[in-house]
Amino acid sequence: MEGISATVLVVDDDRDIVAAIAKLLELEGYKTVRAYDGIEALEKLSENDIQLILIDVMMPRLDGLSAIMKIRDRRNIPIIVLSAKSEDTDKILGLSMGADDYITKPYNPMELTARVKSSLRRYMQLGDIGGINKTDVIKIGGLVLDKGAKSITVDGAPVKLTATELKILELLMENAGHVFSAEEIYRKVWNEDAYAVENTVMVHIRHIREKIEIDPKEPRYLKVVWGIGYKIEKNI
Amino acid sequence: MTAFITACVAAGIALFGELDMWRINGRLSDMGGDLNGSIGSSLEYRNELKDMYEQLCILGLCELANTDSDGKYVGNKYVRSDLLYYFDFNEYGYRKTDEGVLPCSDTFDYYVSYTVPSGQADDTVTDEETTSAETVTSEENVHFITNISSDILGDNSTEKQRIEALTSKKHFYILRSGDVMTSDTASSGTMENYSYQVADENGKLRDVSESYSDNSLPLGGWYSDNYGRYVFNFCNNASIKFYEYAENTEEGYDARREWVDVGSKTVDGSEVYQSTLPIWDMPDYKAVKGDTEGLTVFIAPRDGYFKSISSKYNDLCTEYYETKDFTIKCGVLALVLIVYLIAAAVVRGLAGEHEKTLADVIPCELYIAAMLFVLAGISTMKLMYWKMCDSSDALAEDSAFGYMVLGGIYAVMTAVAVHTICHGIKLISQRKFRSSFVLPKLMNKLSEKYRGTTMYETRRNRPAGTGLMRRSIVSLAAFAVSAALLPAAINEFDEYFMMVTLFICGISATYFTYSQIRAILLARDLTKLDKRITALNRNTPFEEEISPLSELSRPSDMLKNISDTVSDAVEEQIKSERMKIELVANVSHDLKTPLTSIISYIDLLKKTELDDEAMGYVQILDKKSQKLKGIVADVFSLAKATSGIDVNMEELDFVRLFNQSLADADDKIKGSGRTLKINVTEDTAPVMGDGNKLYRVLQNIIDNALKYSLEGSRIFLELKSDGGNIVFTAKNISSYPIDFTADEITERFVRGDKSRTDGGSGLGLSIAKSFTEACGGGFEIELDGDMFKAIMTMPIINKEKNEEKETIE
Repeated sequence: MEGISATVLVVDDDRDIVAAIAKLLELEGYKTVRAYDGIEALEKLSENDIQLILIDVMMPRLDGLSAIMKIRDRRNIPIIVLSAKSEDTDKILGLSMGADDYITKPYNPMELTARVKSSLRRYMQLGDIGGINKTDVIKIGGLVLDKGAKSITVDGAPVKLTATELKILELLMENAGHVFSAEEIYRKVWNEDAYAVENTVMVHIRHIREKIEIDPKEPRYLKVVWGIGYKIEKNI
Repeated sequence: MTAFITACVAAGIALFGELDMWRINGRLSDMGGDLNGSIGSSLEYRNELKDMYEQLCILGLCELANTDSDGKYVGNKYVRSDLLYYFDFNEYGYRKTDEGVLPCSDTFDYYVSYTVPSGQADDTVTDEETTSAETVTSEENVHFITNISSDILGDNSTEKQRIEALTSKKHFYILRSGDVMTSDTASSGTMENYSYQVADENGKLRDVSESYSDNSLPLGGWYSDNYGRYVFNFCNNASIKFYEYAENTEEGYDARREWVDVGSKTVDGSEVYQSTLPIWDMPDYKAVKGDTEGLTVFIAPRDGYFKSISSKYNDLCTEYYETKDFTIKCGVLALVLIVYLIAAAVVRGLAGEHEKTLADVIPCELYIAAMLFVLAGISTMKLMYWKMCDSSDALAEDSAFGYMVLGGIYAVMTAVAVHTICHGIKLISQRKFRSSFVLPKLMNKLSEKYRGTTMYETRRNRPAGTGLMRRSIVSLAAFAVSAALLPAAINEFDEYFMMVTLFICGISATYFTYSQIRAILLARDLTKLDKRITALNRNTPFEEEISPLSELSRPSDMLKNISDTVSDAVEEQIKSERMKIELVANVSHDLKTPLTSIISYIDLLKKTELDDEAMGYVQILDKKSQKLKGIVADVFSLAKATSGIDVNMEELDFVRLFNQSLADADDKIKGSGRTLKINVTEDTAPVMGDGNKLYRVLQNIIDNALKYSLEGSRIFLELKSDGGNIVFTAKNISSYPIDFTADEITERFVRGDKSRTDGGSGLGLSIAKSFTEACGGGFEIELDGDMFKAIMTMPIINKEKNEEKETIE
């Protein structure tokens, strides 16, 4: 999806980081607007045609979370939080304030660009996906499974999965939020008695993750519930 | 105010009226019964009648029976002296003459005669005194005494004629030769029950109880015994005794011995009196019933007696009813006004309109004392009034001054009572009832003063329990002394010794009681102290305070100090722990920001055209910055785990976790060139833990084993249950010489090979230990030569047992 050209607002009180991110995004072909605190971000947002916001949390004058709340009052554009706070509670707080994604510092530049890309794709193509409106389409966040076409798209980009992987993903997506043990998955997907299948299932899970997740080590959709089983998050 | 004064005056009058009614009633009953009863039933009247009757009987039997025809007393002189003494002693109105005694009475007409049985009779004896005449008849020898005029008796010469003349009068009683006659119209003089002792022919004594319901006087009787005693008992409960011998003679001494009781001892078949002296002192006791044959007694109230009484009686009745009428009127008025006043006070109280008055200054205790005084006063007033009436009729009875004084006292009493009630209502409505008591405040002040003294300090600084011990020892000693002295004192008859002993015992008992009361109070405070300790132990607040005067107040205060110190220390510790985590969080945040820039710019550098050498440096920078990133993350998570925050415990299967972790590390294992020997004996092992953290632990252990084991060697992973625990063991042969202790390796930032710089933050095993412990498990390292052994233990939840329990239930 190299074709998308968009303007990204980068907000951080550390000017070097803003410069680095801006440079990184410009290399990817995006236009950037820079701001160094929440107030400035709001001003820049009204002055420019912005399609995505990358925003830090801890900033002078107006902090990131407050700025997000103010932006969400008016705009529906994707917002990615960029924070040094890595706690689960911080992430949950940021997402519930209206952010679409949460990247912890120090970020992996590749991951950052990937997430920016996927968020933009979702934002730009939202209309199309909403229009499909088929009953055999399961949509979780940016992950869309078309059961009829047996196809998977992540943030609008099609993903190639093997038949087994597709079956596993279908099972988990149909029962999003439910935790399946390896035996259950094996019995339902392979239709065979399950014995010492943890390894087999885990290998497939890892492969699926590598295909649908931006960062397979920090999965957004397909999660391992340690000591219990596997699941797809219900609410993204 | 007017209502108040009117109410008080009315109440005073009413209460006094009631008192006066009671007085009149008393006077009436003195005269003879109540407002409805008859005059003749008066106690005074009956007593006089009885006394007179008995006197006449005795007189007849002792005096007249022993008078010869010349009117001279011929009987035993000692008996006569006793008779005179009896009349003297009992202060009866009588006149003594040379011949004998004559009773006097203004109330009664009497006539008494004794007929000497024919045969032994002498000539007629004449009594010259008063109006009575001694009559000599041819057929009888009769001596008689009377205060009845001869006009009535007439000059009837025979006894029979005289009696006939007398019985024409009304209201009479007559005893004649053992027979009793009364006038049928008699309405008074009842003596319904009467008991006395008589001796029968054999000298045996018996109790006789006679009942006369037909308005007649009883007969009664007399007897004489072989010790020279004459015992008369006609009307009164006490016997009257005369003696044949003088007091100073031996016989007189024996006869006058006072016998206390009628016993059932039989001597010679006779019942005898039992005396305080031994029975052989009164040998052969015999009593003989006296004869009343020949005795005639006539008694009747005098003309005009009832008339004079009844006029006085009527006056009293009129006075009573008038007083009653006035009393009721005043009482109703007072009652209405008092009810009005109280109602007004209540209304004012509800409306909150009570004004501040002078009465507010007076403490409640005084009101209560005044109330008690009034209550006591009402009951004593009657007594006082009655005494006043008795001592000085002029003052109280029919005296305006008396009325005013007593009425005034009653009015004041009412005023006090009504004011107290109204004031009480006011205080309650103002919610000042408790605060208006002065005594508790005074006590508090005193106690405060006392607490300021050095004496209090000294007592307080004594160790708790010394007081109790001292009191108990003194009590025991006092008890021992009392116990030793008391029996001796009872046996001894020394009054002085007895008094001293009783004094000592009294003091001992007082002290014992005092010490017991103190012990009870101490026990109560001990309970409180126990509660305080329990509360401290459970970390719950303690409300009940121990009085500062208690012996346990000092320990209690010290305990409070300890608990305050402990809770302060705990608070301090929590605070410092929180600060430490905040510090770590801040530091890691401060590290992350520059690190972000470094990583970002290295990335940009990588995308820039650089020569090979420079690109090589960038690669190194990239690698090191990634490692730094890992270390920062590890430090932060370690700090969190150590403080125990951010741990989400849930039930999970440790065996499954192990399999998942193994599968997750599959790639690493395959690429490591080591062989894994896995031995899992359990199918399932439910534990409570944070899945993410336990995964980190297993991951770290496996990573560690892969990283630091000898190239091509085997790694042994073992999962076993041991007791109530699931035990995970990882064994490997170290690829380098082990030169550290087991403790060192789990300490932060210590790595096995100190010189090695590749991979890992050096926190892997520290994190493993911290995370395991945060989940309630145990983690330890065992070293044996080059053998490295990591052992992780987690308690298994006893699920099966729970299920069993459920099925049983």
